[in-house]
Amino acid sequence: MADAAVHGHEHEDNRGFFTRWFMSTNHKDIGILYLLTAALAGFISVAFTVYMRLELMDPGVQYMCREGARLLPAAVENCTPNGHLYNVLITAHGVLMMFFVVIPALFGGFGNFFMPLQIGAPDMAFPRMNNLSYWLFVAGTTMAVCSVFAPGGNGQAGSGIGWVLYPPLSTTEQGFSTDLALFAVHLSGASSILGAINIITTFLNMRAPGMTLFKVPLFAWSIFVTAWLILLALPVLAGAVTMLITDRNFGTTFFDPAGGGDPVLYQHILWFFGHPEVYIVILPAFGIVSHVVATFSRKPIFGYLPMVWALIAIGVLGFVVWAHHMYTVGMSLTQQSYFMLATMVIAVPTGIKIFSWIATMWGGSLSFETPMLFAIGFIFLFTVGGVTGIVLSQASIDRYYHDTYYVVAHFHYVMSLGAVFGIFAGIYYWFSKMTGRQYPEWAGKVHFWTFFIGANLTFFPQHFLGRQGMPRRYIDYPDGFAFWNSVSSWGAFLSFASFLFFIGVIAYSLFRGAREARPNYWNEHADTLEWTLPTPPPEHTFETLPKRTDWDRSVAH
Amino acid sequence: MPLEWQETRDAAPDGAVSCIAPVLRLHLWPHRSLSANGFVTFVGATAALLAVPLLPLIGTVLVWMLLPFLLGALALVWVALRVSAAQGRLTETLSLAPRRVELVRREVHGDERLWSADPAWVSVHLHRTGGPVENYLTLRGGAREVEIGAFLSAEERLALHSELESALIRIKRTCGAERSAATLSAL
Repeated sequence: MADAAVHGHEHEDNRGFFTRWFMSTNHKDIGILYLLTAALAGFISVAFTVYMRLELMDPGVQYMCREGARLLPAAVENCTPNGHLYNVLITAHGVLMMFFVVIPALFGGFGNFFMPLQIGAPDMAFPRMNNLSYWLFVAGTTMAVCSVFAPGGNGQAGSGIGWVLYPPLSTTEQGFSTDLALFAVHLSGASSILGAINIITTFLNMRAPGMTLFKVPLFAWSIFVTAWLILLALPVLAGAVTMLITDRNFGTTFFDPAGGGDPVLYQHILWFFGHPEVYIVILPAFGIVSHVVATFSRKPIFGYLPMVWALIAIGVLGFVVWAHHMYTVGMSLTQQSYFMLATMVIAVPTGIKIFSWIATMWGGSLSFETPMLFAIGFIFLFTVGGVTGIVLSQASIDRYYHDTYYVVAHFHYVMSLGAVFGIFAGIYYWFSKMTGRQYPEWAGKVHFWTFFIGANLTFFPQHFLGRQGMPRRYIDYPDGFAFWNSVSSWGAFLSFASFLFFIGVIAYSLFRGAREARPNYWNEHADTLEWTLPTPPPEHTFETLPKRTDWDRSVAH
Repeated sequence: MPLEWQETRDAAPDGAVSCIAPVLRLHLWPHRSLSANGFVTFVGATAALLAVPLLPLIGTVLVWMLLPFLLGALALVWVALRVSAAQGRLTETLSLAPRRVELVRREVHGDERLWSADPAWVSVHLHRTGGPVENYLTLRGGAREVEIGAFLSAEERLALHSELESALIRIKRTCGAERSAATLSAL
């Protein structure tokens, strides 16, 4: 190699379809695969919620009958309620969304595609391990979907134990459906940990020369902090799930008081994973929104350094607040006070981020293309969810709201609406960069407005239901809750319609969209390294190190 | 820039030249952004935070079920960072002495390749385009033309080009008189 080769060999992409997509070690291809698979899992998971909202639209059970699940409402007297089916659907919705949709889309999809580009790395540090992560995720998703149809509790298919898999429910559910779900979570954990190690190594070791930590773009930073949270939290979940598996299958009693175990310890371990998981879901969206807001405000992001420190602070604080999910398990007052205060402290770095986005927009020359609409939607919805989070963080108030629809509304505002609006902002922002084609702007706007209205219509009334005292995870409810449930269901249908419309928009744009070849099709404030590459980027990028002038905008920092 | 110049003043290796000549040594390696301190800080912080979930479990048997996973994660990230650093353990060392220019390239797996030439014939060539990388640098004057610093960034190679040229001129000039005399007497 030391011999000179003055006439360089040109790179030619001559991989076949199978080699390119099934044996891929290319971070961009794997990123796209992650996005597509997550979209498929997301569709299944969303379809489940639509069926649940259909059931909850009116009091009484009309769809989920013992006699068979209906697509059209049955008369209440002909229908014996089948609570198991409802439980299976909420479990599958939770498991799929938490492990197989949002993390793979944001972290696996956008993280894989754009993090190496933003730091000027030619690929991930371990490209073949990247491929392994992706296929473990596919295997996990398949098992999670299979668990819905495998023989489970109550002599029916599937397990209705809730995504948190609390013992004794999870250790006593019959059939092997729960085992499939547990192994699915295990596989997803292994996939995420390998992916996280890959991303950490890439980020730490492969940044372009001169790109010190505090010059790295915010999206790459958010992906790195997310990877770190995954590395710290997922092994804990793996341990917990292993113990559930041995409790179920090998007669151990880690969580069974009859054998000296303690089910509350499971809750501690689960939420030690579960709370960072919330930030794992939302941090990459923070990163995307930062870039989108800066681009469409035509200003550099306000307060880059506080933004980075806020990301790190949110990550670290996320590890010391886990027990606020379990105020009612009988902790001492001191413990509850600590978890309450620690939880409220998180509002500080989060506030820094919200105010920095607003300050970025302030005095900027704003334009409202679809990505910007989704980013502003994100900021609004996330703030609403954050404020109800402060309400719930108070141990005394949580006594009343615990396991009511208020909690459901809260975490859907931050995670479902927050993270999903972040995903859509990213998709519209980078769609042409990834595919070389444009989406029709009007269609993006229609998607945004229908989804924004639909999502708020779905979840805002759930605050009212929670305040009226409606508990979560029930197939039926008294007549008094009927009105807001009906509103919420119509909102869900509107959101679902907007999702179908979105799939249509993407399909149309992929095959018929106008060609886009400009490297930077937004404006000069989209100034990270991916915008210096051709659109779509070639198979190999940054095989030689990028020029400093391509990424260092000292004015921006 | 991932390169380092060293200068030592030795008596010329062969007794024929009597002047004290500088030996310039250039050390080049591919860019790696994680420093040794950074590695320690990151692994240390990771280990500390991995210990937090053990707090509520102290005194229970669950600790032993979690520890293998926590230690496994720590070991994995440790190994990954080390492997990635090792993949960058490629070096090129150019030593410039009045009678001999020598380039040693040590590959990741320890293989060495050697190139040497007389400074009188050595020239540095910058190929702004047409090479496998932008601002491709090659050395001529030995048995074959060799590349140098192909793993640096384009601007770094540009800077290296002028550094190399001035270093070469310096080496050719020092002990110039003695050198000519030695060459003449050899004729």
